[in-house]
Amino acid sequence: MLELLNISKSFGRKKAVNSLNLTINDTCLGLFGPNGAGKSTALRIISTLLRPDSGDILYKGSSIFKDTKEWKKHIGVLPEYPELFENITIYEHIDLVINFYNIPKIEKNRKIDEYLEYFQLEEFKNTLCNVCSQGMKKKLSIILAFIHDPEILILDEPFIGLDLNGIRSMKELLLRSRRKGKTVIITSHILDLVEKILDSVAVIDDGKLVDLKDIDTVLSQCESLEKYYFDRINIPQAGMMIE
Amino acid sequence: MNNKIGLLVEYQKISFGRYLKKNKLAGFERYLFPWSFFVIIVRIIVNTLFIAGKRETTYFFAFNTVNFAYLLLFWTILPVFLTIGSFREIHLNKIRLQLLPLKKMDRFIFEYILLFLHPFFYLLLVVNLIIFFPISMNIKAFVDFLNLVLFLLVMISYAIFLLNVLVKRYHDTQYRNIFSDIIKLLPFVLVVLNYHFRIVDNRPVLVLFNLNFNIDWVIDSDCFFGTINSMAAGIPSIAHSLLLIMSGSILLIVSYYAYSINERRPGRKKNVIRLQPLSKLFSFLKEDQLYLEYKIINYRNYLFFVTVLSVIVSFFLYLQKAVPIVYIMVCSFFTILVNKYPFNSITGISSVKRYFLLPLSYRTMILKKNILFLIWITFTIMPIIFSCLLQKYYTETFIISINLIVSCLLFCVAGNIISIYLPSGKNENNVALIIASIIVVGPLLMYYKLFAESFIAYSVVMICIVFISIIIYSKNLRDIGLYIEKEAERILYEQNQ
Repeated sequence: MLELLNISKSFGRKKAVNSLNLTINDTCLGLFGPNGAGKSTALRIISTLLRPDSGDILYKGSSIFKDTKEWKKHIGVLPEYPELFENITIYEHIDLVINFYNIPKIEKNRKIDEYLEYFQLEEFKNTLCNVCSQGMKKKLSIILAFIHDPEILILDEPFIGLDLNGIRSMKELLLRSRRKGKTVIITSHILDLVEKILDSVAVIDDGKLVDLKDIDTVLSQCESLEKYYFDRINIPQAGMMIE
Repeated sequence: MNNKIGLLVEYQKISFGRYLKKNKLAGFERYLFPWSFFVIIVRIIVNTLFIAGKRETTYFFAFNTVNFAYLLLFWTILPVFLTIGSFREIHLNKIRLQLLPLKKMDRFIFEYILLFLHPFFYLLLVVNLIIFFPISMNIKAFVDFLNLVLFLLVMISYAIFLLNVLVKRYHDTQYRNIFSDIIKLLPFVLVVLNYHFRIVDNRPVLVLFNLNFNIDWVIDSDCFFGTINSMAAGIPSIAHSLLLIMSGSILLIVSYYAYSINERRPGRKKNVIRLQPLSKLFSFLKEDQLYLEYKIINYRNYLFFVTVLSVIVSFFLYLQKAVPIVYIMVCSFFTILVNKYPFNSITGISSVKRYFLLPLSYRTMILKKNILFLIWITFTIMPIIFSCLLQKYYTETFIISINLIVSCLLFCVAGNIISIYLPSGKNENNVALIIASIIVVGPLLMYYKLFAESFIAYSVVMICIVFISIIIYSKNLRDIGLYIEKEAERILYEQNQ
């Protein structure tokens, strides 16, 4: 169980996250909100890339900031941008990252091959990252988040930059993680795509939690996730602005 | 070093090997840049201290100690840090590194191990060691030769750098940053270069790196001021004219490119240098000051404008056989103008905590700006002092007042540098001020003692230093610092979008 307790984070005068309280219990949680709402900041805090100004995050009862090294063993993070090393090949990237987790050698090789095949990157495995396409970089970044089979997945815009095949693979991967009972936190603006994956939905606006519901309740109350979202966020839809 | 760091280092070796293979001489000049600047600074500082030291032998030992500390700092520690700053950005992805289950200390060790991967590091280390320890070895000629080699390497690195920038690799952000720094530094680098061409029997003699640490630690001050004396005596020198024309031309070309490159459209993948009509040169005059600070395009136009003026005026003065002090003052004045913006961006981050939240590259940049500012002071104000000393224009009051300004600025920079490395707390700026005073005022105490004959004058100077420093320092934090803070906020905000 992951508990966000009164998390606040400011950048200058801008409060990116404002007293955020959230409990995530082995579910697939979708974090939604307009641009600048504080979603990515919240994910960066959970990933310990940022320290909150106040508040704490508890995992199984203890603060994740006490031993960040240990915490990072439990999480798989897909950052908003791929964040890769320039002059290292796809295969070398995976090999480098997987070696940080205590996985037996045979298992390691099997996993690397399996993921490369799954995302159709086998023939590009010896390609340097600086010549990879955006889509390939995204796929590699996804593999790096999943390769060590983490208990918690933190995924910032996982579908952006993927081709249709990639989207399907990503969706399948998320459903598989859900079946395994992993905790998944996703931010996305493509609501249709994530609707069938999520267990619960949290809406953030202006750094504050606006609403938190399980997906069944959401869909029983509104006809779609999109409708639910726009009901919660106080902005006009694009179609309503231009007549 | 644990296995995981070893693994990272292995991969970085691979990565770096590939990078070097692709960009043959990459990194080479990055080592030499900081080195070259600091070598010049060391020379000036050492000379200053020795000139002062010669006047009163009581302080001789103290000066030697201070000299050694400065040498160690400027020859070894600062260049290494500066180099790492620009160097590691190419080969590391900080966020990816942070995502790996590594302890903070392990990450730190790894980042600094990178430095040792570059073969050129070892070359500089060896050269440095030889230059550092000639006292017992008594190999003056060899050291002279090494100094000359080092000087030539620096010059070659400038050439490589300019070629890289102008011909093929301008799109590299790293270079863009260094490029703008170099432009800012060029005026005073050239001023200093002038010092180091000594005219002996109408022949130019290069004495730039003639920094000989003999047993008695005496440096021939005539080497240092040779040019000024020659110029003051009105000796016509072809070498000097050539140097002036050459430096002027380089300045014009480089700043014109900077001016042109600016006009590239943002968002383009390939940055094509398009030379712009000179009519746009004065566009900066139409913008208001606040707007200028946030518009680098106009800033560079401004820079170009100032540089052109600087070159024309200095050359005109030279032709008029004006005394060198005028030339130096004009150069210094324009250097101040050119560096107006770096001055504004001296670290004024009021919260240390906020500083540490900035991306590493930005932190490095801020630190670099402070160091640049220090260099700027050394190269602009110090020459005036030296000139005054040599031209026998100086009076005690004048020297004290000039030194007062220098020390205040030094104090301010030191305070800033220290404040960003202090742990977060309410009184962090005051603590920084105290530490800065210990570091800066300590050596200055000895320095001023030599110039101020009476204890009262000396005390008054010191009190003034402290007060003015506090005023400048706090102003710097509150007002000038706003610029950086706003920039920092913007970057962080954009990063989190």
